[in-house]
Amino acid sequence: MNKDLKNYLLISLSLIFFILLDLISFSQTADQIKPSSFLLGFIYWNIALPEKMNLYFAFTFGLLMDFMQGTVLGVYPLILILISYLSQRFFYQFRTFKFVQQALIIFLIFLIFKFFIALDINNADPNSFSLADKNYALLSLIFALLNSLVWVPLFYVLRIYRRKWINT
Amino acid sequence: MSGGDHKVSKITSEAIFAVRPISSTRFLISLVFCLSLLLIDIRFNLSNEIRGYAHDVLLPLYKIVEVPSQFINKASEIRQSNQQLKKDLLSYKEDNEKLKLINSQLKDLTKRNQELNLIWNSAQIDKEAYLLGQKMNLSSNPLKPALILDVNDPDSILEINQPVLSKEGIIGKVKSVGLRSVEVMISQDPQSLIPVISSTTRLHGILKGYGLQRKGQLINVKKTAAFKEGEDLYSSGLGKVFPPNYLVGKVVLIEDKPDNEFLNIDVEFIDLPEEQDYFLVFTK
Repeated sequence: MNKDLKNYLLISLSLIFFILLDLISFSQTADQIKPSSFLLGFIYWNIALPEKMNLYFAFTFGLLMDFMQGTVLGVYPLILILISYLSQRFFYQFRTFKFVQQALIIFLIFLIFKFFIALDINNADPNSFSLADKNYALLSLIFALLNSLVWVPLFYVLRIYRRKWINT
Repeated sequence: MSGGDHKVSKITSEAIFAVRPISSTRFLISLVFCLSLLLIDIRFNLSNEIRGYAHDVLLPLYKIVEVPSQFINKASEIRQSNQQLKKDLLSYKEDNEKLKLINSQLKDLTKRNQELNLIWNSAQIDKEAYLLGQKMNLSSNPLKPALILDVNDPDSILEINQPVLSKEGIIGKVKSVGLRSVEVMISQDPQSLIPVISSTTRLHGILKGYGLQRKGQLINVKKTAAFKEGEDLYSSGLGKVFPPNYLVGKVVLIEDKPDNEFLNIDVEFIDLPEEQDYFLVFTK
């Protein structure tokens, strides 16, 4: 098999695995704070192999997420394209950061992500720009914190996977 | 400068093995494309036409996710001792007898209520009016809760806006239809509006959702309205989307705020049963 095609397939496979992992449902509160391994994996691949991650990845997986999450079509592609661009633009700097610094950036990215998807795009509440309330803000903070904690182990797991299977 | 895998220095003509990030032009074009998609979907609800079919395609993924929990359930079932099962069987038999008795009483009550034209019209007894849907996925976004059901019935006539019921009452309506999958807009969704009637005061209102695990509100209720805390809210049937007399929620708080021209009425929706795997789609 063509080396590039094999690499694309292996990256896609890992992302699909993370989507499946994210789909596993617990209680409603746990579902809101459980880490998004798909987004973490997506960020990892953009930083580790930026030359392999193009915008088609972001768009295709974004649409998939839109369907699964019930969001307006285009929300997730927009988020993934932004993440992809920022990750690839600053991956040299990001790679040299300490894990604490990386975790802090992941924390901020996921916090912004949570508040972005809470925007009242459909104008369901004419009096408010966002649907987020205090409870949502608190759960978003916990969500971002958990993601930043999961980042380091996931980084190592994906690094092992990359070194074992993906030939660049 | 080369247009290949790497840049070439203009001064020394040596290769610069730096990875090119996504070009700004491509990024901007993609961004504009996504924003256009977003605006088109908001304006024309384009995605509702295709979401159902998308879920048909994604059905295998949903099924795969179910495998671990099914395996765990099976394992725990096997672990249960035979004796325990016999005990359970006995208690179920007792319960069954009790239920039969209650059921006979309920039938009688239903008859009387039908005469009074208060609750339960004949459509509810019509089994053909309901389709059984198996829960496939519930999105983790509390502000946009979408329930995916697998309605594997070749004769089914599924349409948008058909009400979806749990064992307790109304939980939402069909938002998008595929070949065998439906996406349900849950009553807690911020876009959901349900016409309701209160159980004791018999007052009408419109119940609006604010997200999962959040209280709903009766909107635009005049300050003179005499709703009572603790009374149940049933679907009123107005608007002809939801059938009448199904439980939707319960009034938990009534506030008369001086800066608001309407009453502030908080409503607790009936719980979305997490352990319940099957729901009914009302087709008539």
